[in-house]
Amino acid sequence: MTGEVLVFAESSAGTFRKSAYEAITEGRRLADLLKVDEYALAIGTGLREKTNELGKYGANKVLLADDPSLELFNADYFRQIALDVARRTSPSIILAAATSTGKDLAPRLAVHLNTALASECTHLDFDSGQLVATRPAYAGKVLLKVKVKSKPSIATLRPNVFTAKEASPQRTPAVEVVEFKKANSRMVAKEFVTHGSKKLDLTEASVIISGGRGMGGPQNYRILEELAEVMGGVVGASRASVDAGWRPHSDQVGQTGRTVSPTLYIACGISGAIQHRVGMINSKVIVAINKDPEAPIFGFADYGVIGDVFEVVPALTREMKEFYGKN
Amino acid sequence: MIVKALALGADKAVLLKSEETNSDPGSISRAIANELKSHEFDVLLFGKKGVDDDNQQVGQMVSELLDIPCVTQIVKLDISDGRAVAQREVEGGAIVVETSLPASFTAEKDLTIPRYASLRELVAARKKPIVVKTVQLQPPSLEVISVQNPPPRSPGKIVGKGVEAVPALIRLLHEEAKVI
Repeated sequence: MTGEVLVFAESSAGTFRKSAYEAITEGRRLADLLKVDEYALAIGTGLREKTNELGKYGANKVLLADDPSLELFNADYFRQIALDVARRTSPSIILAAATSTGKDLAPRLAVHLNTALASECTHLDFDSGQLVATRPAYAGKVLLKVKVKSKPSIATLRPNVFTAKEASPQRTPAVEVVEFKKANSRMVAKEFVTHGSKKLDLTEASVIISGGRGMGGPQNYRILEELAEVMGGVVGASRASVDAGWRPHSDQVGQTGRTVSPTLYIACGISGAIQHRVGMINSKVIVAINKDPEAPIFGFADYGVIGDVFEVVPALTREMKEFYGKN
Repeated sequence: MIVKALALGADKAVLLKSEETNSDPGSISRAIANELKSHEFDVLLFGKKGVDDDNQQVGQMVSELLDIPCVTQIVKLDISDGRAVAQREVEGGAIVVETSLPASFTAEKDLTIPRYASLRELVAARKKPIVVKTVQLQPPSLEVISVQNPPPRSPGKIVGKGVEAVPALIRLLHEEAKVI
């Protein structure tokens, strides 16, 4: 018997993340191929009224654990709930987004269910009934195809790679409430702290303005912040500028930082070393602004401007402001 | 690599060797957990992921097998009075997590700045014990079936030089790429 597709639908402050809808959409596709139902697992707070959202993207049923103590990710609680649901249902596939939460949770499920997990997948497929996942490795230098030979087969999906699409037909999912034991936690998730102003995370942003060594110092990132504000984007950084202490590590795009795939990535004063490239190469459109015409970034940017970032970026901000004023 | 770890502060090292090639994190985690059962510890520290397969699974799996709490992707760790307080980096900020000990943690890049070992430490490290054990790994459930090069991204166009290129760039982003 083929079991259903179970998808962990991650939420934040009572709202499902975009990556949750991406995972539900991909889960629906797999469920249709297998001719089974798709179940969504929602863990968080304030989600009771939101379960129909998951039906829009294709879930037949929502398993819901909704409690104020689940507002922040607590691995002990989330593992207990997810494991309970995985054991009570009989999924053949379990999906989650490859976010900090999904990447923490999925291996815990895999080891308890005595099965394997393909991390940060960019494509899923079947080969003689077994899940075959495509995933980047060696910092994106190669793409591996891996087969998950055990059931349930688990995969985490890299955010912004799969497209969230409303299903046809849309469903009004049945909701089943999942109980959990609060005593069973050795840890307390105490509070959420932000770095300065609360802003969109790089992995969720559709426009990223990134600065590298060419920015010359931390004070000069102001011009990037201004452009980001006009365009509704966020500011990222290269490893060189993070290692220099100009920007926090959470801003770093690349091998040891975030992997991003925004609609528009504007690289300012970034040479485009391999370790940066692997973190942003899946952006839809890449713009490079660099005074060095030989910079490797021009070898893979869609649009290049050769010039001084301190002249080009403020001009771009002015003209973008005008553009957005008209459009 | 092991000598370097000993030079930077470890007192002894255990190297688990396997005859077969098996990169399934589940198999590797079971071997590590099995070994750790015969050791006493308050804290286990892992890196958040290996820089080869980028699986990011072993720290959590070992901890679940040993039934100890595990906080992943930490950028800060304080330990006092038998409890640990860690900050784990997440989208848009960090979550402060307090946990009982023994516990395990997987390190994000900002946790510490690795220093260089001094010559004296490197010499002393050569005298520290390295126990080598051969282990049998559980057969993999995750199998690599192909390795490909990612599709190349071809260079686009140079719009122009300096400030003069800005209007053309905006026009191209709007009309050709349709991203603004």
